Amino acid sequence: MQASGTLVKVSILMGVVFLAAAILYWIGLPGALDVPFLVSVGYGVLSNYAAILAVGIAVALAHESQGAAGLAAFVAYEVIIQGASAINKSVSLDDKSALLLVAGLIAGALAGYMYNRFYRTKLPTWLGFFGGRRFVPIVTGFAALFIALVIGHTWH
Amino acid sequence: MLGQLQRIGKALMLPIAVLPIAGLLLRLGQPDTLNIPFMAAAGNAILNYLPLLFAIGIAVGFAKDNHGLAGLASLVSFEILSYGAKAIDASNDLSYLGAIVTGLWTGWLFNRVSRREVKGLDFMGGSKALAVILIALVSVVLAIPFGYGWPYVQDAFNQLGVWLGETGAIGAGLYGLFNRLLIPFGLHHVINTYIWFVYGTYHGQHGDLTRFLAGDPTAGGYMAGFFPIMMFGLPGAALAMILTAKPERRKVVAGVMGSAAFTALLTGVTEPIEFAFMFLAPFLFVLHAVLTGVSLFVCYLLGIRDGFTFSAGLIDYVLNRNHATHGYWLIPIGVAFFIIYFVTFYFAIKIWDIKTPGRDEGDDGSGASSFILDEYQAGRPAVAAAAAAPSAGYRAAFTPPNTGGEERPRSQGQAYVQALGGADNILEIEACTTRLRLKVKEMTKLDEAELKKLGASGVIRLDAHNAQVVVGTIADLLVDEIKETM
Repeated sequence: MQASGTLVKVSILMGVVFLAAAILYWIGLPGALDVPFLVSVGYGVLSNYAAILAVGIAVALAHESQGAAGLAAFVAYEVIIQGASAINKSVSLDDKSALLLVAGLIAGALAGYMYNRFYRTKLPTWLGFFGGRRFVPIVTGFAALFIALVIGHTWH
Repeated sequence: MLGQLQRIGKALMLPIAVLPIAGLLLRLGQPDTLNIPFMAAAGNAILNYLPLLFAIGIAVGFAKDNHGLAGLASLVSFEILSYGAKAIDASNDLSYLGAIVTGLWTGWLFNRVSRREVKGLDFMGGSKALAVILIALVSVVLAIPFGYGWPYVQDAFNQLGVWLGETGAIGAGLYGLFNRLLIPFGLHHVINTYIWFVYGTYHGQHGDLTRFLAGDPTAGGYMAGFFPIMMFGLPGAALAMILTAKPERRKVVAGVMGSAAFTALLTGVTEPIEFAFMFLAPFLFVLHAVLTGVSLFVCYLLGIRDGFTFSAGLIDYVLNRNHATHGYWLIPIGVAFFIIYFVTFYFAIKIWDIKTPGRDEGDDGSGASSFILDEYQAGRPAVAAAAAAPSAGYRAAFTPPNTGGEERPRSQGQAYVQALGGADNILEIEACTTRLRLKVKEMTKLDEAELKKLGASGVIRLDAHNAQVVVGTIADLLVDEIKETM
């Protein structure tokens, strides 16, 4: 399958990026070269790994690797984590929380699927601007709202 | 040069497409509407992360074929740059400006690297993967000058903001004027982006639009004046065009212009009306730009503050009604502009005999063939037109994937490719709101008459190779069809 092949490739690429970020982080630590700048740069990538995963997965799954899917994935990711934590105060958005990983994976898969399903949507003329690819972030955002609702009520 | 600026203008378009979802969630979730707190929280989250969405969207918009890995690279790069710059100076906040710069340079570098042949990297996606890694590494190095230089950039833009604030209503009026004057070149997004997303600060939010959504009572001065123009003024112009059309053509014109006016009123998308007279009567378009400036000036002066997430239509007006300052004043002002537009357009068209839709001498009487209004006819493919029930027009038609295109004997895409001088003549083609942005080998091969027959309402030739064809809101889908046939 072409899509799964692309998914493997993009996953390897993201792995390389995370590894590079981790190396920068480590060599910047006080025990090594002690360069706070490098720690900060590495942390910038690592602490947002789930959002990066979401975008990467969505792009890999989307027809012709279109970037609009990545945009939708980021929207879905934020909707899921912020929506869920607004419902359930015990949901932590700390960067070690497993929720982020789950939300990132779901958001990526959802946005990729929604892109392929809706990128050709034709809307009535007066809403025509929001048809096609621009419809994808909107419809994905609303779908993510339901996932936020489910996660918010079930997460422990 | 103009071609490059155009690319930037187009790239700024894509992230704007996520604003409506943020606005809808935020406003529908708030106590004065549906009162669903988690929905408002989700909308608020999108708003807070808009700079990141700008970084992704602009890189994607700038990348060849809108490739998604450019967006991934830009996201990684923006994280590196913002954390790196913060490590150097804690007061550094890259925000929108940093996101726009990041989106542009990463998109540019992505194009540069990804078009090369790279051996040995196939396991992770070849040259495009190399581009992502390269962008990440360059970002680490770039974070150093960013960190040391950003305070000066911030200062400069703060100064610009202070200066703009001091010009008050005059500044708002000039902004309105140039916002419209730049439309034919597609460059209005560049100044919009500064005003809406960079200008001013309120609780960590920047820009007139985001500050307005975040509840800044002083924000909205650069948006309020658009409501009278888009909801009332341009529909007034549309009415004038309907009433000045030849009696036998009036019904068809009323269908097209009526739907364009309805679009403007409801959503604030005004290009279908504006393009109907922009090329025929540049004088009227300049007048329209001046009136827009006047509206922004007047609304600012009267202390009216109102905003939108997409454009100044009824939907945004209703969603934001409780957050506007003196928002109800926009209605009487709008009625005044409706009258002004209607009267000036009616008499200008009569006096100078401007060939607006339905006034053309060469009409063959068969209806929609010689005068054009974008989506009305371009919206339905020439061959499939008979099959499409007109009454179904106002319901969203969901096309399942992998079924479109193939069955049609001669698709709209093929017809357009032919009219553009064949697949060999088209070097680059992309969509932007209502236009095809083209780079062609030979400009002379563009068949303007044929394009108009297909439903294009205008052809803009920028230089020897760059052109735009105005086709209406179907531009995006049409480009897909064209690319499939090439």
